[in-house]
Amino acid sequence: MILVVIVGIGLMMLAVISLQVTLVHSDTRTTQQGVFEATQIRDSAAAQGLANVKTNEVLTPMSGGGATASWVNFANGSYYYYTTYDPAFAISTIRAWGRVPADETTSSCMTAPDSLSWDGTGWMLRGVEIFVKASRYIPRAPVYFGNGGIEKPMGGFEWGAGVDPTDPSTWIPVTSGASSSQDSSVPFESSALDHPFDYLYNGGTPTPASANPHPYNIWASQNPIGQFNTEAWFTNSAGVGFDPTINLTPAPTNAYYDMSDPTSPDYAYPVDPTIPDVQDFASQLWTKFKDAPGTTKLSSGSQSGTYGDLSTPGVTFVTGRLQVDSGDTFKGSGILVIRDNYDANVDADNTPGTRAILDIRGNLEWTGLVIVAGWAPSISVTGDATIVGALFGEDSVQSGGEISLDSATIIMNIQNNFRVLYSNSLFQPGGLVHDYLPMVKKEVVGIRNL
Amino acid sequence: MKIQNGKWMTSRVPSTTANPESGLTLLEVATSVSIFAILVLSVSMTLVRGVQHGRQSFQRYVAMSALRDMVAQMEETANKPEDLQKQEGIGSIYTKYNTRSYSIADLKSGQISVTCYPDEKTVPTKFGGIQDLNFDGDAGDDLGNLSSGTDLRLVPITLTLTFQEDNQTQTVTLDRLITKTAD
Repeated sequence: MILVVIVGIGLMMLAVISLQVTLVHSDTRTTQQGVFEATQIRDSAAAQGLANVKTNEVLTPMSGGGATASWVNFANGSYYYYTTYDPAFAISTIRAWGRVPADETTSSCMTAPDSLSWDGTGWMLRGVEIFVKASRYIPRAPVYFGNGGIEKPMGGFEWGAGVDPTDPSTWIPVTSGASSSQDSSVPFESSALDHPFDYLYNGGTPTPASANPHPYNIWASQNPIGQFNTEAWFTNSAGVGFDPTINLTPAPTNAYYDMSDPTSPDYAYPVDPTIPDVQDFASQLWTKFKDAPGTTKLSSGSQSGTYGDLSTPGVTFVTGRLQVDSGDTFKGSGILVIRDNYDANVDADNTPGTRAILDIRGNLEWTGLVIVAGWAPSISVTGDATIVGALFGEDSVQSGGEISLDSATIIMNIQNNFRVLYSNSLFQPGGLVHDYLPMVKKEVVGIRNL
Repeated sequence: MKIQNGKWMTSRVPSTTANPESGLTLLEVATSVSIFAILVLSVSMTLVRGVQHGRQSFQRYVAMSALRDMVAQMEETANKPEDLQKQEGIGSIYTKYNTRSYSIADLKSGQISVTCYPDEKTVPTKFGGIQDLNFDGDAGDDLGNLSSGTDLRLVPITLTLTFQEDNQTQTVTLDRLITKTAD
């Protein structure tokens, strides 16, 4: 009897222990699930904060709940985040939390978990802090055309049977029907010398700084096909065998250019994949400045007049064709963006109603950055054009998706004087254009759990 | 032990004072055995249930790990430079993953199905409802087609993982917003 009682008590204890183990397993499972869900909600909040910072250049504090800080319902819980910006170091900080109910009753506290008034009763909470370092892209060359560079110059890249974009030995050169050209007098001048920002306003004085060794590239390409097309345009578009170094300063034959290695950053037409996508660049400008005070929005067609000067630079958008008629002058300073009317949000077939065209039949004088970015972009100069600063161009194929390297190019037909004179001081902090340059380099430089 | 006069007698050391009528009746023995059996059964059931819970916890852990891996894979795609041909970049998340299913070898009949919600106007309330996914200032765009897919900056996704456990179908769901974290 005693034995039965002892064994019985033992078994009951075993049962209790087993039950406890079961309860622990159950609690573990519940906790695991809660932590998992709260973490996923937290990461979703962080994703939204990060996308906001990266896309909209959020410099002022914001929260997941909009203007009024509040928790946003998400999945089985809710999230909250806020951002801060440190202008001294150009660092945005995102603090994000996800929470799921852990008890039957939960507090209705709406403040941030790092607030002294936070009451986390009944909640499973997970938080993360992310640091995003932002910097502006400073143009390092007078001219940069993305993707495939200039479209189909004589000797340039053309698709055909067996062409492999990654294997230059398979590339078929354009032998007829070139899309881009220039007159034999080579009226295009691209100068990487550092011109004073007020060069146009002081009659071309003082003399631009010399370059020895050269501080800036005379041209930059996004990929080898763009490089190939650019060189072909300089070499052949004005006639087979033309000297491509004419009107390029510093001349690429100078000793300080490494002409032996096309992959070298010191090559006259270097490939620089770190350059931001021009479409993205233009898109960010449109998003940020389209409704900003001082922004000028011009419609497609003939335009003339003055849009900003050295004391009042601004952002000027032209949707469609910027045509400056013979006898007219289009002048200004800041950033000039010529774009198509393609809206990725509503246009599904990649065919905007307008192209992005810069057509100079009269005079263009622009101090700052000129961007021609859109569907089937082209630049035509039959008048006289001078840009002090830099020129960017890119096709908008698939809304920046870069589907095809021979169609993602810019047509460039230059029949009269067109000068692009680099000016670094315009883009540096304190320069005329610096504050308008999008924050294209936004990198996560730190992350930690809260 | 032996049966004596119809009673179950335990073997005892003979004693001069022993009562020949002492010992356990059959009923007592039967009751004890029954109690013992019930105890053993209940303990066994509790133990089995504990083991089951342990296994289920592990299965859940495996399931959550599989979902985390899937999210990591999607984030890796999102962080690559935009290239729709190679289905890389955040713009390709929708076309690459939406309505696709992926087998999970570590779970019996394990399968993850992916649903993306690229239409700003119909983002489910569990993601916070209607919202601006391309950060263009409005929340009225359908970003589901190939070309406009490149415009996505934030992709709401639901991963549903189903697997067999004890002859029952188990489901674990994960709702996430995916974005590009790399520059």
